[in-house]
Amino acid sequence: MEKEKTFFVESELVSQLQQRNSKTFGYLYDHYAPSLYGVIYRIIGSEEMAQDILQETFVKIWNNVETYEPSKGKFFTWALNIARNTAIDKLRSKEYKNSMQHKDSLASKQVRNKSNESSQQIGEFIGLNEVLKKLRAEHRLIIDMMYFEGYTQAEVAEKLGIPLGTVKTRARAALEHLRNLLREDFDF
Amino acid sequence: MKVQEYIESGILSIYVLGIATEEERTEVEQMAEKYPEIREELYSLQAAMNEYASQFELQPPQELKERIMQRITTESTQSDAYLGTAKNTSTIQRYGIAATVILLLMSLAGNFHFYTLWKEAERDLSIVKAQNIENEKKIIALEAKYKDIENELALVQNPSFKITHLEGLQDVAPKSYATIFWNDEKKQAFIFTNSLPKPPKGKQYQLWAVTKGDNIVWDAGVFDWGKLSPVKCFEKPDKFIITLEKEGGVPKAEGKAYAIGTVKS
Repeated sequence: MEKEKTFFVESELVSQLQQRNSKTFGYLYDHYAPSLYGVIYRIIGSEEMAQDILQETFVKIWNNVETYEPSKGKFFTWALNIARNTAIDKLRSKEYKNSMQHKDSLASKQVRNKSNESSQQIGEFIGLNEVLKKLRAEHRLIIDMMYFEGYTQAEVAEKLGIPLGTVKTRARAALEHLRNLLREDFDF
Repeated sequence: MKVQEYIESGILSIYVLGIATEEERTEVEQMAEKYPEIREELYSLQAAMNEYASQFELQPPQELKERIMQRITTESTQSDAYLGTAKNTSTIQRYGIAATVILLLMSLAGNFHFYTLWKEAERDLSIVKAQNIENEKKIIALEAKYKDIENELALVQNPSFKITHLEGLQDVAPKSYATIFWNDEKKQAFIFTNSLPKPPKGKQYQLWAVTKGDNIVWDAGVFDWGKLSPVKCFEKPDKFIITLEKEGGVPKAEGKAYAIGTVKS
C-alpha cells in the first residue's frame, strides 16, 4: 500500500487546492514537505538552497494545481516531480556551479559522493529501511544517478561504460528490483 | 505482443526516473492513455519510486512553513488585484461597466459566501469522519488494555497465585521490575513486564527458573513485552531470571540478564 499522505481523498484534496483553500494547502505542506524536502536536499546538498527550492516548489504547486492531470498519476507523484525537476534545474544552473566553487559545503560533498559509498553505508547514514538496504548497489547507483543526479541517458551510458541502447533496460532492471523489494513490504 | 515489448524496453522506467527526453515523454503519455496495461505498469513504477523517494524524508525547519504560507497568500491577492484593473473607456461605458461590475460582484459575493459555507461544511465532515475512525481505533485499543488489566487484577486477587517480584539489574534496567504470578496447584504462571525497557526489534525477553539451590535452570519460555503473558510452569522454583535473547528464544541463556527475583518460601 502506498503511504497515506493525508486523510483527504486525493480528488478532494486537489479540488480544494484548486479552490485556493489555504488551510488545505497547510495540510498538503505538513504531509508532503518532509518527502519533497528530503529529495531536494539529496539532489542539491545544501540546506539553504534546499529550503529555497522547497519554497519555489510549493509556490509552483499552488499556482499550477489546475494543470495536474489525474490520469497521469497520483498527485503526490506530480508534486514530487515538481520538486525533483526544480532541484535538478538548479543543480544545472550557473548560479549553483558558481556557489559550489566558492563554498565547500560538507553536506554537498556527502551527497555528491554518494555514488562511491556502498549501499550499506548510505543506509546507515540516513536510516533507510531494511528493504532498501537490500537493493543491490549497482541498481541503487543507476536509480540515484538518474533520479538524484539527473544525468541524461547519454551521460549514464558514458559514466557506466555501456552502450546507449542498454541504458533503458538497465533502468528497468533496477526499478524492477526495487519494486520487488518493496512488494515484500507493501502491496502495490 | 507490442504492448509487452514496449513495457520491456524500459522506456517507462526512464520516464519515471525523470530522464526521458521530451519526445519520449509525450510518447509514454500517449501510450499510457491508449493501453491500460501500460498505464498500470506506469502507475506501479511510480508508486515504487514514490516509496523510494520517501525513504529520504527530512523535516524542513519549522519557520519555512510560515514563510511559504505567507508567500502563497500574497500571491493570491496579487492575482486578485490584477483581475481588478480596468482599461480606458468612455464615461458612459464606464458607468455601465461599473454598474454591471457592482451587480456581478454582489452576486459573486453571494455565491462565494454560500459556496464557502458549503465547502467548509464538507471539509468539517471529512475531518469528523476521520476523527471517528481514529476514536474507534482508540476505543478498541483501550478495550484490549482494559481486558488485560482486568485479568491482571483477577490474578492479584486470587489467593492461589503466588506473586514474585523481579527487580531490574542496575547496569541494564535500573528501577525496572517484573511480576510473576504463579499457581502451584494448577501449574500456571503469568508474567507482566512493562516496566522493563522495550526490547529492540528482533529481540525478546526470555524467562528462566532456577530450582534446587541454583543447580537446575529451566527455560520458562519467551513472552510478550508490555502485557500479561503466560509462561511455562515448574516445580517450585527458587529464583526467576529474565534475559534478553533473539526473537523466539534460545535453549540456553546467551543474552544479558535484565531482572532477577527470589521466590518467597
